[in-house]
Amino acid sequence: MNTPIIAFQEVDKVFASRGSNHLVALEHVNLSIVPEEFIAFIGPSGCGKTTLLRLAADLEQPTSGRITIKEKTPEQARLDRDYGYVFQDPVLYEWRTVEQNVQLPLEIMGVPKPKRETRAHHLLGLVGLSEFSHHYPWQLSGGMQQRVSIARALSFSPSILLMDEPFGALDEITREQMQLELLRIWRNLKTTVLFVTHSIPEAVFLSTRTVVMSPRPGRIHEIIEIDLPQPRTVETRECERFFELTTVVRESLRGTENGH
Amino acid sequence: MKRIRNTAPLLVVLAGLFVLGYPMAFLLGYPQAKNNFEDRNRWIQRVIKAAPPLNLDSTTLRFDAAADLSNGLLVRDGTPLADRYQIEPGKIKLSQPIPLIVPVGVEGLVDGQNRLFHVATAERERPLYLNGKLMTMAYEVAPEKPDGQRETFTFTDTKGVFVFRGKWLQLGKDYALDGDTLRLYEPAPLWLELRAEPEWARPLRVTGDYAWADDKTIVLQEPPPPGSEIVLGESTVTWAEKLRGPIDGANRTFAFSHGDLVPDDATRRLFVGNRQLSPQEYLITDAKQGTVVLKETPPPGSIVWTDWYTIYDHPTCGTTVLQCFFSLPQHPMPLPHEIIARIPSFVMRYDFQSERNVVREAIYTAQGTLVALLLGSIVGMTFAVLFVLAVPLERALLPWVIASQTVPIIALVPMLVLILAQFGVQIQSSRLPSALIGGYLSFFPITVGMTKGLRSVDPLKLDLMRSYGATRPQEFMKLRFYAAMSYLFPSLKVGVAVSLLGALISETETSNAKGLGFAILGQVQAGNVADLWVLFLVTAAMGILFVSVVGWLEKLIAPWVRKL
Repeated sequence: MNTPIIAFQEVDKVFASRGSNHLVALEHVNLSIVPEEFIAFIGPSGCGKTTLLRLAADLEQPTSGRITIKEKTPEQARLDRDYGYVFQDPVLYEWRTVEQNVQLPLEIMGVPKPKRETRAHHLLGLVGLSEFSHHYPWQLSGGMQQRVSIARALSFSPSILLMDEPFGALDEITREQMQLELLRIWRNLKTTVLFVTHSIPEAVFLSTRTVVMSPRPGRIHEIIEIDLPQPRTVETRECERFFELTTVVRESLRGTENGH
Repeated sequence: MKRIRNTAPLLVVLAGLFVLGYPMAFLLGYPQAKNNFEDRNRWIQRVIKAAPPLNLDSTTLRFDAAADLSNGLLVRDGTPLADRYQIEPGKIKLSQPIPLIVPVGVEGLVDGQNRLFHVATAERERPLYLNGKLMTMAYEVAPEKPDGQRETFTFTDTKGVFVFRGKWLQLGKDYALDGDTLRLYEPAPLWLELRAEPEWARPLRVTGDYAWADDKTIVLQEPPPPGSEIVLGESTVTWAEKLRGPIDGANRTFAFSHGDLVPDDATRRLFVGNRQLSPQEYLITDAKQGTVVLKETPPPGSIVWTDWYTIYDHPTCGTTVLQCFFSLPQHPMPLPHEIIARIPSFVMRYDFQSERNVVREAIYTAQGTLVALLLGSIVGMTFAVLFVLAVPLERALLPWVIASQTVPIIALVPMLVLILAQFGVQIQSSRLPSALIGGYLSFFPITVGMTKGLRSVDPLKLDLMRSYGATRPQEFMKLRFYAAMSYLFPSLKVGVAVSLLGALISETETSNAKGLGFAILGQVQAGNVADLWVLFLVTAAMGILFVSVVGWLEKLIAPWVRKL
């Protein structure tokens, strides 16, 4: 439990743009995440939350510093399929059915067909979409599409789940349902989750630790331990501690503005 | 309901095009119609003649009731008679009988069939009587000049007997009628003699009771019944026209009753007293007004008169430019209903067994188009994949791909024929030219579209592929190809259209005499504008059909494209 599953050490990320206007997206980021943690990243736009996730996923390269994932480089981790990535948009392949979308990562890994089908069936059951396995993405609602996207990320049982505002485009009711479902999946599968969000209640409700980030340059402002009891339920949102913690996070966020 | 919503706009546009076709056709045909209306060579000429008496006894001359006796003089054999007569309505009373007019017999079979009669004299002005009744001479001359090859002549009407060079023509044996056009079965010979061309050197249409078929032949409109007596007056007594103008010893300018004279009228006769003026002795100064100036002043007391002259009566094609437009034998742009009326006969002209059958021509062209599209697709997609895989390759080849489309396509076919002939490929009998030219044209939009399509992948979808550790081929097969579909099908629509174009062009160039392209060429060479438009419609319909088929295929193969 003490060996970090993901570690950021003095990570900087600078985007070179035209002329000399370099954009410093991340500066001096240090963060250690242990297995089965649920980390929420929150902060104003431009604080580098998404960049942090993309660095971990080897979709971007850090300008300096070191990232280790399961004691490997991010590239090796990517090739070992250690993580599943969920974007804000479902990013489903429109030419594939729901079932085929969930099978896509397995197809790429060369998993034999019968095994793929069993796995897809199981995961669609997990996200409650068994009946829709032969539908095409455009025949589903936004929330259903996002569930397919999560099922797809889970299809190859990654030990880490990288989620970039996955519920950002959903309405409030669907979003709260999805949060509960995500927590259920997280408990059952015992994965580590890195979750980027704009919503303070979402961060508090979901995470074990909430990382508050400040913008320009993106830095870790404060890490807040969320000591709400597990398993969290509908009532968790109504308890006093939940409100206290949201206030703490809110004030911390306000601090990021004053700090600059 | 949905079907109506889908097809209604198309039908509205079709109806709009149909309606717009008329002003369009008129605008395009107007110059020609105006020219036909204004070109005097195409006008009907009418002879204004002195009125001959209907019958005569020793002291009374009875004229046609329509004859204008108000401004004239009595003339016998070219000599004005002395002023010893009285004009009464429709007749003239002589104070003294004039010598008897002896009739001359006319030779010819009077059997109830024959219309052709010979006379000994060439004096056309003499009156002709059938059983004592004066007959009217009237005819229409075709405006076209025979040139030894011309077979068609236009008339304002097709009623009446047609006469040409001393003969009357028989329908079905000598000529056929097509609207107002007379088509001789043998080309009309050119008038080669040095003296002026007589009227009967062109086909005539008898519009009155009779006409002169040549110098000594008369053709009657109706065959005279057996036992009839046809006689020609021996000497002429006519009521001739006095030219208007004072005769005061100074004036030399006189006016005809009718204007719009044919200025070089060879038959015009002018007299001062009983002396006929030669053409050198007078000048038509204003043909429009009918004004003539004499070389010498007529002395007081003389009479200036004419017994006939020719005027321009009206245009052959009609009395308005619009009429002339509608009577054009062929409009530069045919009227929409003409085109549509042409379709059934065009389709049925050859039965399906014939290679000239338009459906077979269309099928041939369609096959060429599809082979071309297939070739263009293969080449285009190959280029696209290569370009996306290796950007330097794109930098090296794309300018040449673009340059290839600026080559004059028409020059390609003869080049291909030459080159392939060296290898013994008989290009004439194959679809190779269609495939090569169509493919040459269609590969370009497909290359461009497919390249764009393969590149325009949602970056998040690419990130996803990367996060799964997908290989380059996997990324191509599972993502880029599908993503390119939304660009590929529009490119294929352009591609199929240019393939059709290429197939048509190649068909006009090769000598295999097949396909719609060849048919178009044939109609161009025949100058057959209406059929050309039918072919345009056929090719346009084919183009629309092909593009629709690509659309259906898109729905079938890549239904998600419409959902994006």
